[in-house]
Amino acid sequence: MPKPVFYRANAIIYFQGDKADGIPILKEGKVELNYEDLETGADIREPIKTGEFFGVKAALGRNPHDETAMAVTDCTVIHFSIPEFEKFVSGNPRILMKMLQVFSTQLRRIHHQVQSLLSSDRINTSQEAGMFAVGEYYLKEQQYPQASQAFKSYLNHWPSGIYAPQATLKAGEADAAQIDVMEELSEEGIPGTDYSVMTFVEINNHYKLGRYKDAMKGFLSLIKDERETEHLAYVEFRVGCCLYYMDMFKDATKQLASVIRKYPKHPYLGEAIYYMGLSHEQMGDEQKALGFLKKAGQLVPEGGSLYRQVLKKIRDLGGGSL
Amino acid sequence: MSLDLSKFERFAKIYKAGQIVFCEYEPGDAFYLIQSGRVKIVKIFGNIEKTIDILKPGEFFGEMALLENAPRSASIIALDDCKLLEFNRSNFQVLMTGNPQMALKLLGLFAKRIYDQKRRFAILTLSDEHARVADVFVMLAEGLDPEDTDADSGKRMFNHSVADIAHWAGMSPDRCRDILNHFQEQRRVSVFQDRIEVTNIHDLIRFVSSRRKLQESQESQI
Repeated sequence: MPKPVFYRANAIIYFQGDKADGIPILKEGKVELNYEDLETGADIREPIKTGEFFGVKAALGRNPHDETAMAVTDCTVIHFSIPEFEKFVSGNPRILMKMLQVFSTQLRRIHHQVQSLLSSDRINTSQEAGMFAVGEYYLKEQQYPQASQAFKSYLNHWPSGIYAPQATLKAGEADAAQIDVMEELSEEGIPGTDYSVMTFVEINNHYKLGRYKDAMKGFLSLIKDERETEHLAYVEFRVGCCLYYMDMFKDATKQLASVIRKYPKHPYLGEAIYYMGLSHEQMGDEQKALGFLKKAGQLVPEGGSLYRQVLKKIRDLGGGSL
Repeated sequence: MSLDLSKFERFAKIYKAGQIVFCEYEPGDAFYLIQSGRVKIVKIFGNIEKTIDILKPGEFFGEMALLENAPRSASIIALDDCKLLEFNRSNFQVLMTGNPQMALKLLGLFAKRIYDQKRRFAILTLSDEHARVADVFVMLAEGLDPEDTDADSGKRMFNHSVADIAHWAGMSPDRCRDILNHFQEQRRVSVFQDRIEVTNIHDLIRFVSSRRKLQESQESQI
């Protein structure tokens, strides 16, 4: 039960810094809250009206009081425990809404005050640039779904913003990268261009010309339609290479590992292992990279240009000779 | 505190694990209550994504959007498949009057935020930059669980980066690093890759308080 407490004039009901152990409401008499204004440091005295709760913020936020409450005249205050208070206001939506309003006004004000002191620091990061940077971060970290979402949200808010052309491009990049290679085997359709009409030779030309995104989509369509099954091993291997050239090193290692497992007698096995090594090098694991490169060196035909590339890479990584 | 949310089914939105609910800097007017699943609050500082908090069912986020159209101050990413109730300013009143438990929860959240913001403001009013950095540690120490603190020695450990400290102190990371280096020379702090250790928090409290007094006496002379 809430209990009435009598205070003599000039008595302190609670001090600033005290832990709030309940919520008082003024029944009769005069109470004042004393605190320093945050900005000016001036002493503020705020009278409490009869029937008004005070010290609510500290109690509900489980924080110490940030003001001192003093009886100005003899007065009676009714103390509610926190559960009693919660029960009481739950039955009084009007009071609850009023308090939400007061709190939100205070929060808005203090939020603005903080932002105004920070503004000189934030001047360099506009909202637009900030959001675009979030997308770029995820793209760089190969978190493609998040990158794609961030760029698309950007475009949604700023369809003709300063970063819109870049965001469109990068959203596309993130989407293309999202096509999980193995899933693509069972799933249908690649959005956009109709790659299903391209021939193996055309697709391979894309690859040779360095148009890896197109090449990958083409290769994937070949896998899906089970066209050119005699080339399937080669096609799956090239998807791994495309991923490598599109800087998706982790996906490249996954794809290449699957190719190596599935086709252990494949003529391109050495090259697949070589790309595996390159991907690991890019991911910063030089030891692993060297392991794969040395293996590749034993498999690729001696004397060819690929063989020389493998040897050079091993030397560059400080692995000596084969 | 159990919440009866059956009435609010029409506000429910499903998010898949990994999906972004909203992005840092994005404008927005919706706020959310988690019905099932967890979300993480993340912020990108330079080259690192930092998880600020993980929220569980029954918790709110995005409530600042109710107050003003400020850009989101952090990104929210679903950790699990999530069911979220999405509200905006227009249906807020209906929600709150129909569900006092939720209004009380929000009231508690606002109270906490006001306190945190005031504390941040107090740091930023310090004109001395060294005191500002020191006061960030004092603020962080206030938020520590007393069980985690080594009361006698005054030693405190913070899993925060220089960029975090700079953010709260309202200065550039470079300037903040200079100040931390200076503190390090004085053996007041030790900066590590993944954490910052304060040698004696009481020393920093005294330092901040003396600088604050000095500032007040100078201001009162003007």
